[in-house]
Amino acid sequence: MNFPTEQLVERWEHLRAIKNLMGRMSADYTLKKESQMYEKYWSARDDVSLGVNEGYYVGAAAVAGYYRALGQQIADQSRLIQSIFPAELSGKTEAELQGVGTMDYKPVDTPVIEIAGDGQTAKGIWCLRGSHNQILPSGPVAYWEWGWFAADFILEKGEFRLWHLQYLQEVCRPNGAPWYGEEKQYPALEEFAPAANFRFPEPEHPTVLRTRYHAERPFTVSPRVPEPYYTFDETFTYGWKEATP
Amino acid sequence: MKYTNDELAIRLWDTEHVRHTMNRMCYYLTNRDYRGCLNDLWVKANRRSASLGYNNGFYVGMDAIAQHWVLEQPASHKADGSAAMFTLTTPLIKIHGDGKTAQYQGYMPGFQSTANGDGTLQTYMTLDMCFADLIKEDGCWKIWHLILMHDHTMEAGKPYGKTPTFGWEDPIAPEFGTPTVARELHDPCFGWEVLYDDMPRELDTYVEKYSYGPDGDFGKRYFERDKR
Repeated sequence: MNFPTEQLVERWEHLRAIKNLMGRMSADYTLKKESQMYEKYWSARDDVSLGVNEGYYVGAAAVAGYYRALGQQIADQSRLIQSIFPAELSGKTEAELQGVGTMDYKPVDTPVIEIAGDGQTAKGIWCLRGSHNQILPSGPVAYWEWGWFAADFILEKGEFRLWHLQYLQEVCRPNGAPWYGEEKQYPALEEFAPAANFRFPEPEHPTVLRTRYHAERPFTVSPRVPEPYYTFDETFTYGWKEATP
Repeated sequence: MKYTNDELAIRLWDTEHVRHTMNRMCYYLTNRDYRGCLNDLWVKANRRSASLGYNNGFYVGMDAIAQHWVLEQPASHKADGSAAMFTLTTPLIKIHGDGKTAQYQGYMPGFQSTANGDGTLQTYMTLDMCFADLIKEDGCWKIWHLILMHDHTMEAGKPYGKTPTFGWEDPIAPEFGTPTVARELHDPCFGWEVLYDDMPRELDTYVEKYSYGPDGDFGKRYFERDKR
């Protein structure tokens, strides 16, 4: 596809904006701003979808609910940490406590981004190589995380927004432990017992999008990488489809 | 060099296309699809001078590269219980002044893992660097000379500090095979100061001496290089 100079520059600015969107989203994981992600980055359309290893959240309400649940989980964890460390944390406001005791680095790299010839949609894939901790009944446990973000974007009011996103973990295993066998279990700590009550909404369309790596898993290729296309109907989607297994 | 707005816009996208070509390569390597990588991303017109470099030398010519990557690919790569991820980050890209060639440098962290058959794994996290010359063929950027410079191997779940500094056989090294032009391009036991000389340069056109091919300076000790 050939474009005149002005269009080339406009398309490059869109490319930069898409990279920045993913960079900001990555930073928001670190800053524990998951509860704001839907408003900040997603399309207002109702046919949005979010795929995780275990299935899809489909539609605006379900996707917004996923991020709301993440925000709630962070708030619950922060209150639990506050109750365990009163000398350091009592008297702090909810805003001051936001994310205390949690950590989540999801740096993204290796992007392959294609903007449609008609400029109305775009697709991108990124590798994710980070580390995060989970607050468990045994206390905070740190994990290595490897995986991908793969997304369809749609132009809305002059800017690209997330339309369909897949967040797929390839590896999520505790730091300092081998990647095979049962996950290392640390002894339960009485003060962290309430962590057993943390619940998260299951995907409303459960399906195995990707089995995390283990010693018996058949060799499994990465998510499909975007290819050049002109209009969205001539390419594949990262979104949920009725026929999605 | 001075460029018109049209040329600047093209060079802007050239940089993106070089970046995307190299990033696409990572997905092919992750999927162990070396044939697809060679067919889709590598040179067609410059087959004879194409090269693939590892720490221990170069495979020169597409036939030698395909022999190593495709025909001699270990069966373990795609066996049950195998997985790998190759990534590229922190790219440094220079499009040469004439717009016909480009140079790329990036960090390449990843992991490679194979099953032992008893429910356990050999899993290694790797820290590498990647260097490439790319050339435009029929309007598309193609990989011409590639160096996959392997530096560190860390076994998952084991303290890195217990790996001996010297006298340790890197479990990733057998993957380099026996290059057609044997030459030490990198020794992980020693410093990286020579790399300052090997970063992509601001050049008007391709210069063999500064290339990442077998006739370039890459990997030479400072006393083996021309005085500047």
